Amino acid sequence: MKKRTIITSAVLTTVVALTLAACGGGSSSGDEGSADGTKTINISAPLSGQLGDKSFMDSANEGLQSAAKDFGVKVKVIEAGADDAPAWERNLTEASASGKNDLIVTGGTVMASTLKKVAAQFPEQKYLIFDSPSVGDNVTGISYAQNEGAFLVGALAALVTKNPDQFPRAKGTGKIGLVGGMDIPVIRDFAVGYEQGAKAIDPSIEVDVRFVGDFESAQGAFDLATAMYNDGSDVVYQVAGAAGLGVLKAGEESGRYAIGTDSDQNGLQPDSTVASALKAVGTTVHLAIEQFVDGKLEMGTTINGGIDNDGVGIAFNDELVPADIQKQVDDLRQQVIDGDITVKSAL
Amino acid sequence: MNATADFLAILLTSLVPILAAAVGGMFAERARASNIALDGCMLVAALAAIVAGAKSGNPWIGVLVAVAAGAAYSAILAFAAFFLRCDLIIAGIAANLLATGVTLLVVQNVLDSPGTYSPTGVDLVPRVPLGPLADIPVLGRALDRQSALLYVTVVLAVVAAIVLNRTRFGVHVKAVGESDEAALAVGIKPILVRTVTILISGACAGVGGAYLSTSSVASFNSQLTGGLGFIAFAAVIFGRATPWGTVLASLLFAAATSLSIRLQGTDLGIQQLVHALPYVATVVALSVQAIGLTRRDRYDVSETTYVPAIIPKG
Repeated sequence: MKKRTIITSAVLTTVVALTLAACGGGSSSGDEGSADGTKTINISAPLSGQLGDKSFMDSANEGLQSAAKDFGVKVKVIEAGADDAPAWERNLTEASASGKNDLIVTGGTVMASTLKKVAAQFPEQKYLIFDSPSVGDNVTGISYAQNEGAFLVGALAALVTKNPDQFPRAKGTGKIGLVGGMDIPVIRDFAVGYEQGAKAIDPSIEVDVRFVGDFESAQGAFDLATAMYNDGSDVVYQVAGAAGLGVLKAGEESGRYAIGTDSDQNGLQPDSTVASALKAVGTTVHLAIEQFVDGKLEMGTTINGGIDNDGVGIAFNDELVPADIQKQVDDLRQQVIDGDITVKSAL
Repeated sequence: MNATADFLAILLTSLVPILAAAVGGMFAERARASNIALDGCMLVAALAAIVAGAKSGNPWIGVLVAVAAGAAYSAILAFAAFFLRCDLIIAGIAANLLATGVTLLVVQNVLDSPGTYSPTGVDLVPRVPLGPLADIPVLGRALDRQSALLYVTVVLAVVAAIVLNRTRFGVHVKAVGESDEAALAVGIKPILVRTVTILISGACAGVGGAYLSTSSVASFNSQLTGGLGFIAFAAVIFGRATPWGTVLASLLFAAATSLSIRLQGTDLGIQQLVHALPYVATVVALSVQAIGLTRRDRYDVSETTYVPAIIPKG
């Protein structure tokens, strides 16, 4: 009996060790030290998700890696499961407690409450959080008007279903859809903007909003989107992280259209993805790190990325979207910049 | 009519991973060797399928490798439980946790990919077009262009039913499940039979895993299963580890998943509640069954009736 307990605990220990080892598996890049003898700036980036979504997280990673290259800073990215909040807190606390990091970068609205707690414990540590307003005196926030980006693709989606002659895969049902990862405020913010954009083109457009339940099940998202195309949606806009790849694929398989998010995803399914709503996560993170290196990054403030300063925008698939349609969307964009249209928000 | 057909279509696509894993789990459960690591086996197999599919260029090789990987991974469980004498449930929990860690480790350090592995240009498991048969009302629309793995899974379920009820091996499995002493007395080796059933459960879960990573979208991440392996295990228990019971229970859970997708499109939507539907269905189904069994057992004095193996006997 005793031997059995020992073996059981040995097995469990191994498992825990391996799991932790896997969680800690990050990637680092950048120069080991600068030649002119100045101290290398260390940046740690414990993220609230995994890279490889070809969207939000990958865009942030691009910004971090390019900053590492351009400014000679050392960047270490630590990935964690998108629904593993305890791991985010652990990684964040560990990075803060080590005292070796000049700046800690993290992101995602879901991370804000965790960061608020951890940042208060380390008042000397400086933090940068993207996709959230600042949550403390030692935190700089970068927030994006995702509702404005969604507004643009909403308008485009409405134009697609209204003009089946110009978009041969559309059936002219007057119905469009949105697939969200989880029913959380930031996703609702996308949905509100999307719907307003569609109604700006035609108030009679129907908008079908559904949720996968997580940000990882690509197969689940595929099934969900297929059901929505069957229910009549001509275009489905995905806001579902890695699971969203399933939506883009479903657009291709169902012979309709899909819209990508956060990064330019038009190339993934080039025959059916009409556009991507952009969130300039990479560019803004890169910019913020540049300010930090120059000693100009102000703590306790929030940088706002909106439609007017290209913090959010739209990337058309020029092969599929004719110029006059693009112009109609651009006109709306101008109206938002001029303040003629105020995009509603769910936040 | 089309609404019914679309409901059925989504039901069938949701059914594949649940039923494939449940069919194998049924053997293990029947031999009193509960494999709660179905989820872990699926995950490991899903990774094996996409990697082998991408490297070989043939999705069917991916499926075969997934089946082998599922069986191999469950062999670790059998080794821990029967050779090292670890508690089967504890070892199963460990195997599930290990699967998440190991797959992530492989994706990042061996494949050198970020957390979500999505190689381009991978051939997916083909879908089966029905041609003229697709015009059959309801069923035609529901079955048209389903993954070939749906048919594989159905065949798997039929073969499993025959093996369990019509072959010598099936009798051995049931005998071991009901009484070790009785089985030993007639020369059946309980450990051997249990090991084989655990391997079968891993192999079948492998089909489910391959479905998740290579049937619609060629992508993998370490949370891909979304707990489907546990739903499959619940289907085994709810189906009392009988072929018909397991199939019906899997259908019920797949129907709940499909219904939750459909209800989201209506105005009934209390989203959170609708989302919980498959899980609520699991809990309700198991509770109703437990109440029914307690009532019946009051009058049942025989000692050889089947009791789920995770509930200690006697």
